[in-house]
Amino acid sequence: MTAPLIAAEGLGLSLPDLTQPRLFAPRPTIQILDGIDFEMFKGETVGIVGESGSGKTSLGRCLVRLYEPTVGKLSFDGTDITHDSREAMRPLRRRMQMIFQDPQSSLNPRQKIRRILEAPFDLLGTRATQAQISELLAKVDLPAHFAERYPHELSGGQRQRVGIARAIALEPDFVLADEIVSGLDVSTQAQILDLLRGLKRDLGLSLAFISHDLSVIRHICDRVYVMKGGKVVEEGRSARIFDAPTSAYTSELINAIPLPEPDEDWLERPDMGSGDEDCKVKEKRETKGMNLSGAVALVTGANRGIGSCFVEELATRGVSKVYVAVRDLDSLKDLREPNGVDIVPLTLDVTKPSHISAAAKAASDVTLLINNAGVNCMDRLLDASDGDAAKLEMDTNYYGMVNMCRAFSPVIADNGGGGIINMLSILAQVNLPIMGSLSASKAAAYSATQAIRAELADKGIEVVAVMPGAVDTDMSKDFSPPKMPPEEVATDALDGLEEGEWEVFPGEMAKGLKAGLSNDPMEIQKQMMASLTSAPKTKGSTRRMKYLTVDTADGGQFQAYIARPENGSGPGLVLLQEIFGINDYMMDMADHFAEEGYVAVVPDLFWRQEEDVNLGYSEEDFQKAFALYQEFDVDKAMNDIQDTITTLRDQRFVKGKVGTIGYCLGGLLAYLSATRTTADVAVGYYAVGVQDYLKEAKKISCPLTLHFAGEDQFCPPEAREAIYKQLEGKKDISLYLYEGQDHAFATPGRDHFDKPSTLMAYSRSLATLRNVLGPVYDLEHLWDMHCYHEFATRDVDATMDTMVSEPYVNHIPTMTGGVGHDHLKRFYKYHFVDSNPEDTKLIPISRTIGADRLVDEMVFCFTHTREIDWMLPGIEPTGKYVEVPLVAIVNFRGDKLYHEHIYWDQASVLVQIGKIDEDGLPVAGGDTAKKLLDETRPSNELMAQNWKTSEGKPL
Amino acid sequence: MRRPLLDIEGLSAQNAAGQPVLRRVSLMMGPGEVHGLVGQSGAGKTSIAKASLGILPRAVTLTSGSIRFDGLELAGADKSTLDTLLGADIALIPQDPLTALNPSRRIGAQLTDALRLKAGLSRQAALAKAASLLEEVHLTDTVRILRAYPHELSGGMRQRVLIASAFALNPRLIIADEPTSALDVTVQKQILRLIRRLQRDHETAVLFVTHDLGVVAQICDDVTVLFAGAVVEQTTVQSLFSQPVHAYTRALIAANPRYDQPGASLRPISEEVIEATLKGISA
Repeated sequence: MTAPLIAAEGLGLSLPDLTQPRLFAPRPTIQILDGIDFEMFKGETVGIVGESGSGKTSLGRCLVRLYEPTVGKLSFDGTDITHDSREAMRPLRRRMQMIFQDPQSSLNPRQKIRRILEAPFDLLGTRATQAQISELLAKVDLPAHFAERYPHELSGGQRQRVGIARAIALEPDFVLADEIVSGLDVSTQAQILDLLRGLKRDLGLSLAFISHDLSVIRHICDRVYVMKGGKVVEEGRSARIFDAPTSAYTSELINAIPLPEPDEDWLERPDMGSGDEDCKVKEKRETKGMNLSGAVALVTGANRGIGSCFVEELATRGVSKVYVAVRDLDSLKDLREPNGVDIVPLTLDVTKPSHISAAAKAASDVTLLINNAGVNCMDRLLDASDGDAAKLEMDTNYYGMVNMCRAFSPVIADNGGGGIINMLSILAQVNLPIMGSLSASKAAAYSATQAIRAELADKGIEVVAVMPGAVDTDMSKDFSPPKMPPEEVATDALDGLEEGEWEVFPGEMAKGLKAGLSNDPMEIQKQMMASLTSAPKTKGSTRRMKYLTVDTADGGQFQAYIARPENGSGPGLVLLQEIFGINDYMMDMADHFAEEGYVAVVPDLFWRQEEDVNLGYSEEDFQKAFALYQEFDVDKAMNDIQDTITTLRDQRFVKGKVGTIGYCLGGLLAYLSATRTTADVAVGYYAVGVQDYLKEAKKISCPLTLHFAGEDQFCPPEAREAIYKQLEGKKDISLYLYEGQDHAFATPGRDHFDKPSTLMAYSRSLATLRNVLGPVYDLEHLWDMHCYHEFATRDVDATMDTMVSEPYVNHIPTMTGGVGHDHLKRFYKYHFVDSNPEDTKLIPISRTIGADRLVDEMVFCFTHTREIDWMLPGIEPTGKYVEVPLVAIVNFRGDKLYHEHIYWDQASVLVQIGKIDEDGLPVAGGDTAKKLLDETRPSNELMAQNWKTSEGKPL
Repeated sequence: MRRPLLDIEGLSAQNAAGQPVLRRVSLMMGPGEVHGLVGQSGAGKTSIAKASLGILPRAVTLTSGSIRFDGLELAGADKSTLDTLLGADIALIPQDPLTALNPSRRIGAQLTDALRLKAGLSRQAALAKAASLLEEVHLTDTVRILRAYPHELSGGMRQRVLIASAFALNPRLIIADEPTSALDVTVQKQILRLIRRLQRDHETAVLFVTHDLGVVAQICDDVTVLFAGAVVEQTTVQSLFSQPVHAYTRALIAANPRYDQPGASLRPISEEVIEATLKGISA
């Protein structure tokens, strides 16, 4: 007997179960194929038949190695290809080809048929000739001139012929045809089957023919495999299978085919199988549900749409009080106040952590939180389609929800438990091609809600995730139907909460989510980050052209160079120029302060004399600068600075206060901005001529810092002394002298540049600015984002993006981790993110937030089912359950993580997995975690002997 | 014959380009009869079904002929006449149960819409009625199914829901548009059986649109074979398969693969037959 062309033994395939996303562990898998033995010989046509979900398509994909089998062995022409890489498979690709079900989607619509048929030859590194293409078309009975047509100009049958021509172009030994005639008219189907039979005969092809249609199988196949539930239930020659099936399932399949001849009894003839299909729906009830009677609810975004429906629906369910939280109380004027419930308006912008914590204090009686606030670009809140807008959406829809849950869960727990409903909002800006427009953020918000739910389960808080799909509100006017009425969303969500059903999770969204989850999370995250940072990147390349227009009180208009922080918004900072106009130094400093989180502008203060002055430090430029300075009108410039400050305060992206910082001439202007303008803080470097304006020193109305250079000829010692005499020791005024330094010591490229003094002055300036303007970074948020990528999306690149360029991580007891970008990335990628046991759980105990550090205290729990490189390297899984207190100390630089130090007591871990015999050693095993959670457990047992000696001694 | 329930006479329609979609189609159905409309894609099956529901796409216009339901003219009828009839007297079982259901609403909400609007039932009464309808289509897990979303049901279950919905107001005519084409063959058999049992119990007439001659043979009493918008043969199911008269009908039957006749070669419908048929139609 000849050897089979393809042989599979005990082939199994498991794929991740996309319906079960996990946060801390690999997804569970589902078995798609199980113990398949399969073979086919040269020239044979083998049918693979089965109903939907039988695994027939997956088997086909394994045979051509589009899927890698999980277990078993697969060989092609005697070579084991079970686990061959894509690279190793390449030489075989010519010999195995595939024809797909839907020629419409498998043929590139933008390519002519010629190009489609040329493509296989690329694999050989040759170029197809005109004659070869014509010959191919002739083989599938299409005229040669079809080469110049596009797929859409062909009928379905013709397109399928092109699909066949492409598959046979390289004269393969084996062709897999997957449902290639379903969807075709019977007549076309007959033609295609006829064609295939001829080709098979002429070319000596081996053909695997996948179909749900047994009649078609019977007509074309020599041998048949019948599949059900991922297994082969019967195999044999076609004639034998159809005439004398041995499996009841095969008989049922055959008997279910209606023949084109009337048979009065056929329909009522009993099925041999189990009768009607299994018509069960999965039980969705997961918890006991929440009793809404007497509950106190807080609804965000309550002014319209679903939010206002929630308010009305809550009133009908016996809720005693509803906080209606909105960004702007004015928007509540149209709210219909339902009877029988106490309505309390509350101002709340969920993008602001300070608002959230204030709300959690104000609404301390809340037992039900409904997170409904959201923005998307379609509601015109966002005018620009850029990274800033995407960030704002992320902040509102994702982080807003997470922060609200964090702030209110202790409140709800203190009130004896309750519920949280998260409306998983749409992020329109974060529209990733591979995910479809609706699913990206849903996937993120959904997995966050899962995590929140897991954390709050023991605290008596029910958490419900709601994906309403397209709801018929003013915000969804751009969505196509079907839509659902907003009242129904509120009803469904509250039904779910009351009945203990945690996902209210309708179809379209579920589909979108599944589409999202079926993609590689790394890929998604990469795209998401790319889409979020694309705008700032663009800004970088065009930044020299970004200007803000300032209208002056006296009817003029001038430009100010503007640089914004990566997240788009921040406090304002006005940079006041030397005498060289808006030159590179000023723009660099503005960009630098933007990186520090400020919206930095450099007003064109020479505009009244000459616009757009941009001078360097050459002798010639210096002469011109000096001439301009001679004619400079300080008083008018001060008005211009005030107008700049006012304009800045009006900008949507300027959050909080506005300060000034100036150099040389600008140093003087900074001083004057403290006396004459509404600036909230002012910093001046080597100011020129302050001594002439000391009369107005008593009008200084904001904190002021001035830096002086000891050798500055423009501020000689006697001038400095006068200034010090007037200002020294005054509240909120800081004067710093840099001995031995000369004028403009902080300008790189100038003769007197001095780096140590520059750094010193810079840190002093920044301290002054931060003190008044902020921004204060939300270290907790940054840390959460880092953990989100580290654990939820498991995207190493995105995790690295939350860190400075050369960060480090050290797991202290084992010294595992990484130092520097590449080292750490390698650690994360291969030894951390996917390397924790399935049931890994972190129970947070406390969190301490300092100026630039955050300390997390937690209990780390897991069952030792796999080797954990970072914690227990080199130790085979013991199957033991471990609980250990763990402390993480996280250090930040700006808004990025710099390093993590992770501490735990390794001895107690080793005791718990049985690697240390605790007898006679002062170690405690799992008790350490238990005592952390319950401090009343016994103390001092390990020092029991010594402890006795102090008994009764005076305290 | 008793007074016809559906009487289509000389119905012609054309598309926006002026090309004929239906050509002088006549068809008569008595109460409780199952009438098959069979033909290849583009033959006009769905256009007849849609015309009978008054839901032809905007681009298709009726140019002549009439469609009478129990004596009432539907061609050119105003919207309120149709609204009164649809759901109550004439109901639809659509082809694709997934797109026919709103994916974001629960089955219960969708099943009760018609009961509340057309039968004037309260929400609770409508839900109770919906549950009994589900039992009638052998969906016994009614509480959970009413709370489920369409995507949580299998294709067969969704089709059962739509059948329950079609029979909800006990209509006299049901238009079934390829109701089993998207289903696995074993489920198809169960659904066909269900439709026939309900149809007999309620004495409902069914206009059954399908491309599958096997399905026609097993469920229909009469059949109309369509080609290019015209009727090529109209007869009882028995005679259609025992003595097909028209060459096109014979060719259509011969193009079907049959598992019980493996030796017979499949014959695509020949150019000659198609040309001759077209000639006959235009004549």
